[in-house]
Order: sequence, then C-alpha cells, then structure tokens
Amino acid sequence: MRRLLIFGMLIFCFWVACSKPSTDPHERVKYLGSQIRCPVCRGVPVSESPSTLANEMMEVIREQVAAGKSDEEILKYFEERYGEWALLKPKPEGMNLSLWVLPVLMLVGGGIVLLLQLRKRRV
Amino acid sequence: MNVIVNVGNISIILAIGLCLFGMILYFLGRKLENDTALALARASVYANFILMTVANLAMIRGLLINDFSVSYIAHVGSVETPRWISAISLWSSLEGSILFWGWILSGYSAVCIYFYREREQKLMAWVGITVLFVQLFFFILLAFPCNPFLPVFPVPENGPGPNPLLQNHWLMSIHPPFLYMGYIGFTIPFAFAIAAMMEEDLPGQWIEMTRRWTLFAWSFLSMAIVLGGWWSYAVLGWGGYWAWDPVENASFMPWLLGTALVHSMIVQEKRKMLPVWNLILAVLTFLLTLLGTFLTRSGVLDSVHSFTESHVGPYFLIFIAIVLAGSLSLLLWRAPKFRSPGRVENIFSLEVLFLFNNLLFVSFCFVVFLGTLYPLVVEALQGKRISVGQPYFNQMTIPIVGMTLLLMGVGLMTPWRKTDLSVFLKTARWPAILAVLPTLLCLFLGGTHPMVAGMIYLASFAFFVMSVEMIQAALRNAQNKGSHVLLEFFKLFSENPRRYGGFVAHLGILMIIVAVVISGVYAKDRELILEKGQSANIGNYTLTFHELWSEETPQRLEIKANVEVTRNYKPVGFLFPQTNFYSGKGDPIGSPSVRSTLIEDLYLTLLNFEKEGTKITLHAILTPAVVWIWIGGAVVMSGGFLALALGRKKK
Amino acid sequence: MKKFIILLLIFIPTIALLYFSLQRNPRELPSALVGKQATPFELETLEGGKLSLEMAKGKPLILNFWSTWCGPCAAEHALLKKAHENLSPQGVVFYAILYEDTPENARKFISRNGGSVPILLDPELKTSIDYGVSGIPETFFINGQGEIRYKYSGALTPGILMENLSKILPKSGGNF
Repeated sequence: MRRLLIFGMLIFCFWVACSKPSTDPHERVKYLGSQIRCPVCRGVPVSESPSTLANEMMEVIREQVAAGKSDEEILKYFEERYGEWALLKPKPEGMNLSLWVLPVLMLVGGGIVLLLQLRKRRV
Repeated sequence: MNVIVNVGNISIILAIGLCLFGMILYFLGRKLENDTALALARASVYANFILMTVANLAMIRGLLINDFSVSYIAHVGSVETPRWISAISLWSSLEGSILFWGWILSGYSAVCIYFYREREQKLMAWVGITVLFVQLFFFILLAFPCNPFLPVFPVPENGPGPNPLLQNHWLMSIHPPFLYMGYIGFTIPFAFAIAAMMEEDLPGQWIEMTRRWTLFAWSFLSMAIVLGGWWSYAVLGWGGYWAWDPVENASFMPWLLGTALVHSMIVQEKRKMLPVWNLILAVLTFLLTLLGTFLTRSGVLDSVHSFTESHVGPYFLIFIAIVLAGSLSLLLWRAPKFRSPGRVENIFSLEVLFLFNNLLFVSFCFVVFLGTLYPLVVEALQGKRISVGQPYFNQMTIPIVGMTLLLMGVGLMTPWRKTDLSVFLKTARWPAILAVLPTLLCLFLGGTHPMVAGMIYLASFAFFVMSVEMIQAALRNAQNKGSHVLLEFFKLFSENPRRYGGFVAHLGILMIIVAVVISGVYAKDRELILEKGQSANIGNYTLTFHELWSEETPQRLEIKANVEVTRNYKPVGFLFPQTNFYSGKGDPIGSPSVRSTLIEDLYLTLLNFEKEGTKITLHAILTPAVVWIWIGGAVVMSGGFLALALGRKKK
Repeated sequence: MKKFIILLLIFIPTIALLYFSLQRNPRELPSALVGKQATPFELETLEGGKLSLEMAKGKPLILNFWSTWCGPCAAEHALLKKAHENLSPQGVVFYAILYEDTPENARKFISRNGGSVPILLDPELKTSIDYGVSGIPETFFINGQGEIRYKYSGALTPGILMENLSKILPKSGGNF
C-alpha cells in the first residue's frame, strides 16, 4: 500500500513538473501561442498555424510579452475578443472541473474497485 | 443508356434486397433449424460482396475514363487529374468513400461467413443477421443520401478535380483504405458479441472465433492512425502530426478500446475469465467506430478535416440510436447470465495486470471522449462555445501513457496465474539495470526534461524485458539443440508467434511513444525572412535562399523556392518548399519540403514570397526522431500480422 | 426495472447530445464583444489621411472588415456603398477596414467598382485582432456611446443591415 502511494506521488510530481511555465520571453511567447486557438485553421494553436492571422496574433503576443503583460492578461485579451472558444485549455472553474475530476475518478476509483473485487476473488 | 449509372444503382438496390432476404433466411433457418435456408442466407452474403465489387469496379472505371455523366465522377474528377489520383478519388469524397466502405464491409462479411460456414450454425446465424443489418444501413446510405451513381445531365465537359489537399501526396492513396480495413474490421467482433448474447451461449467460443479478426483489424487501424499523422505532417504544412483534432480523436478512441479488447480476449482464452467485459468492449469499440464516423462525416465538430462534412448526420444518428438501444438492452438483460468459470488465483498474475491494462486504456479512451464531446455538452447546457485542445489532452494523457509503459514492462515478464515476488524481482533485475544506459545517454545528449528521461527509462525497461527473455530463450535452445544462437533467435517467432509477434507489436509502440516524446519536447522552429542569396541558421543547419520560380501543371500553378541546405557547414542538398495555386479553388495550399534522416527532420514551408522573387518568408522546423513514429507504426502492424500469420500453422 | 432505468440513463443523454450537435453550425462564432466598449483605433486611409474611432464618437458607426479577394465582400460592397450614400448625410458613419490585403488591390477594386466608404488600412491586422475578426466579411454595429451592439459574420443584406442599424440609432432617430 505504501509503495503504491509513493509511486502515485512520483507520478504526480512528474505531472506537475511538466506543466511548469518558464520566464524566458521566447518560451513564454511559444507557450502562450500554444494556448490560443487559431480562428482560421481551427484545429491548431496560433503558434503552429500557417495562416496570416495566426502569425499576426503571435506578433501581438510578442509585443504584449515585451510590454510586460502577464500570462493571464494576455490570455484574457484574446478571450475578450474571440470568446472563451479561443482558449485551448478550458478554464478550470465550475462545470469544467469535471474534465479533470471525472477521469481521475475513473482511474483511481476504477483501480480501487478492481483491487477490492480481486480481494474477494470475484472477477 | 448510362452503363455505369445503371450498373451501380442496380447493384445497390439488389444488395439492399439481399440484405433483407438474407436476414429473413438466417432467422428462419435458425428458428426452424433448416440447413437450406442457412445456406441460402450465406449465399446472399457472398452475393453482396460480388455486387459491391461490381459497383466499385464500375466506379473506378468511370473515374479512370472521366465519365462525367456519373454524379460522383462529375463531383471529384477532372481531365487534368493524373490517372492514379483519379483512381484513388474513389475514397476522396463522401459518396465514393461510403461505396468503398460497402465494399470492405461486404468483403469482411463474406470471408467471415465463408470461413465459419461449417461451425456453430446457430451462432453464425446471428452473426450473419448482424452483419447484414449493418450492411443494410450503408447500402441505404448509398441508395439515397450518398448515391454516387446519380445521372448527370447535361454531361459536363470537365469536373473540378478532387480537393487540392488530397492531391498533394501519395499517402492519400493508402491512409483511407488502411483506416477502413481497421474500422470496419471491428464489425466482426461486434457481430459475434451480439450473436453470443442472442444465443445466450458460448460465452468463450465467440471470443476464440473472433480473436484473430480483432487483431487483424487492430493492426490495420494502428498503421492507419500513424499514416494519418504522417500525412498531416507531410501535407498540411504546420509541422505537426497530431493535434487532438476531433477527427483524429474519432479514430483514436476505437483504437484504444480495441487495444483493451485484444488484451482482454487473451484473458478469456487463457483463463476463461471476463466474458461479460469482453462483450461490453466489443460492443463499445464498434459503437465508437460509428460515433467516429458520425463526428467526421456530419461536421458537428470544428476540425481541420472539414472536407468530409456532409448531410449524412441524421442517418447516422438513427443508426447509432438503434445499435445503441439494441446492444445496451442485450448487455443489460442477457450478458449477466454469462458466468466466468475461471478465477483469479493470485494478485501477482498476468490476468490481473491485463485488468489494469484495460482500466488504463478505458480511462485513456474516456479522457479523449470527454475532451472531444465536452464542448458540445457545454454548448447544449450553457449555450457558450469553449474549446478543449492540446494543452488539456497532453496534460491528461502523458501520465496515463507513463503508467501504461510501466505496466507494459511489468506485464511482459509476468506469467499467468501467479508469480512469486522474489522470482519477479529476479527477472526484473537485469532489464531495470540495463534500462539505465539509454536513460543516461538521453540525459547526456541534452534530454534533461524529467518527463522525457522517465519515459525513456520505462520504455527501455520494457524493451530489455523482451530482449532478455528472447536472448535467454535463444541461448537455451541453442545449447539444447547444439545450433547457432542467432538461428534460434529467429526461430522463436515460428515457435511462439503469438508471444513474439506480440513483442514486435509492443516494440513498435515503444518506438512510437519514445519518438513522440522526443519530437514533441525537442522540436525547434524559426521563422526566417531571406532575401535572395541570404542565409540563416537553425540548429546545425544553414539555409540559403537561392531562387523562386513557378511551374504550371494542368491542375495547378506551383511557386517553388530553392533553398540550399548545409549541415555543420557541409552541403547536404536542396529543399523546395512550395505553394500551390489551384484554379477556381480558393486559397493556395502549401507543400512543405522535408529532409528526413533517422535522427531528425528539417521541415520547410513557404509562408510568403515577393512576386518578383526577391524575398521569401520560411518557416523552418527541426524535429528530432520523427521518422521513428512512422517506422514504429509499420513495426506495430508487422507484429500484429506476425502473431496472426504464423499462428495459423499450429492448427 | 432497474435495468430499464440504466438503459434510459445512457441512451437518452447520448442521443440527445448527438441530436443537438446536428442542429448547430460549428463554424459560427458568436462575438464575445457584443455589449462591450469598442476598442479605440487610429488607422491610415487609402488616400493617406487618418481616421479614428474617436472621430465617430457620438454617432452610430458601421465598421466593416473586408478584402478584395473575398467573394462575399465584393457582393456586399455595392450595398455598403449605397447605404453610405443614403445614411451618412443623416449622421451614420461607415468605415471599411481592409483585412489581409494590399492598398494597390484596394485601389484597383475601387477604380473598377467605385467606392464611397472610407477605406482604412490595417497592415499588421492589429485592429482586426483587437476586434476578434476571424474571417471576412464581418460588420460591427457600434452606437454613439461606443458600445458594440451587434456583430454580423458574412455578407450583409439590406434586411440585416437595416435590422441592426436600428440597434445603434439614437432613440429619437429619424426615418430611414
């Protein structure tokens, strides 16, 4: 049991470590660009879209980063103009939280149910 | 007298009739235990395959000779299109692709029914009814909303040609067929699951009969998904291969459940367990293929693949509703009667690990499902449009992939029934130690991201578990038989093709995961504005823009840039990123120019150019290890086929 | 009975969701800016002068984003021209911002088709992005207090123009 917990913690730390943002402006621009959905080539973020609009939006991001705006402010700028639709990562609030809670419930809950059933040797 | 139009429509109408005829005959034959009726029913399944073959060949012929009196050909054909593209236009647009679907579905059905014509008549009657029912739906689509054989009058001189995006690359010729061979193949285990529930019998039999079919379909689907990513990479010009686009997810979800199914079927076979779960998985996998097709074809979700949008949504909805209601009812009322004779003896056993494998794959599928459909749910309930994109999917799936990798390594060395902890640790010792080497190498080469190092370690561990086992087995055999180790190594595949073919498939998955991780984390890109003769650097490469020129082909105007490439100051060649202008088709489509090596890809797209050819804007992307994704896909498919092909000899 | 409930619980939401999905157009993006204040801008015109949002203050403003290479834009151009001729004497301001296009193309277009609406240049798309433009043509209806009352995506028709015009006219508005 204890080993399982340690294992789980390791995975969690990995997960968190991977989502840490950086402070390097070039990295920030790339990160922010990857969070905004391209309104023209709608399947991709503006950091990867070949469309002109996306390139100009990246330029806007570059200027705002250079002007000292924070990540939240820049994302909000685009959200105000293009709608919440433009955010590729849904805002973790309200009903959206189910996007994270449900899968974790399934995985962890399912794992627990499985272990309990196995204890009873019933599969 | 339009031959093709008439041949096509008559084939379709006859096929619809035969579906109904066959279903009735199967039902009566089963009820009255009449062999003649059953034989006739089988004949109708074979006949449908012949009819579909005729219809498809007629369409292909029409495409090749540019017979614009046929609606589909008038829609996608053109005199300027090269022959081979005309032929593969069969599946480039909706109506033709449904016609192609009908062909493959009738083919799978005919082969399956023929193969089992002398076994389990009662079960096969229901299998027959189910496949004919599915065929009926697609033939109805072909007869009404998606009829490719409508007559066109007056006959146009020329057509618009296929969608430009689909003309750019040879991959277009194999991605859809592979996808269909995968997708449609899952109809067979579904039909058997329904049959087992209708007969309330043979809870294990149906799995043993469909195991190989499932693996066959799965192998194709694996390759198809990788091909889709490759095509996206080579054609679309954004330098990526997977965007968690709804259509991509639509193909990925059945693959995830299909993988779970392939594993859980083995549990049923070896340990006689999980009969109900296998039924659920087989049904769900098929439902997801339907859902996937619905999402792709009806255009309900915003996607890069919007060239497939059409009006078939309502038809698919009705069909999905019928299949969902029917199979759910069977699962709720009949399936629980199946009891498993097998029992879990010990928690440290392969069957338990397979259960966790299934849990992981089902959770993975759930994440993709949730992320893809959630925007629809929000819009239905709150009226606002939101997106769930790459950041979410990457964040949620990376830990699952990591856990799956770990499980793979552990599972590959765990036996059935039970194992001792000490034995387990002993087997794990060498692979765990050896796996440190590639991890150190990765760190040494600059791959210091913790996630990358972790994935490399886990993947190496799984790799060494497999290698150590095979080498030890080969050595043992060589010693016993007095032959050469290398020979014994290769003979392992024919001696136990299922296990070692499976190893090859797992190796392919490892290659894909490692390549995806490395290429995802360490890709570099730059936007370069170059004047004539000017150079710029990216990574170890120097790019020099020499010239811009145009070429005209009958279908399009190509603007190409000549860019010289040197690596570490040694000349390496030239790349020609281009932009293609199609007359009357709107926006120009860029063709990226890629230099692939086993180590990395240099990917150039022409973003902009001055008409006089004095200046160009290039997007240069340097992605390590990308080719290993495509190679890995081929390895996965080969592994699947290896396990199938050689496995037959044992009988 | 319990099984029947489970059946319904799975079946109904799934099919309802899929049915709902067929009823909507995924490409349409409702504007996030309706009800908000229009962002100030100052752009060069085709003739070389300057026009700004400030200059239209106090008057209803129809802000149109267009280009010469977009078919529907060419179609609505005639309508806008006529509307401009009829309505600007009555105080309605029209601006046409050029999107992803060159001034030369615009001049050629005007010399061919005639024009009266002032054309503003937005070479780096800054203003277009400021207004959340994702495709063209798009038309914003802004009232005298600078509030965006409506955004229409697609080529304007007389009906749509007049219907939304009434949203930005002063309450005491005259006859049109």
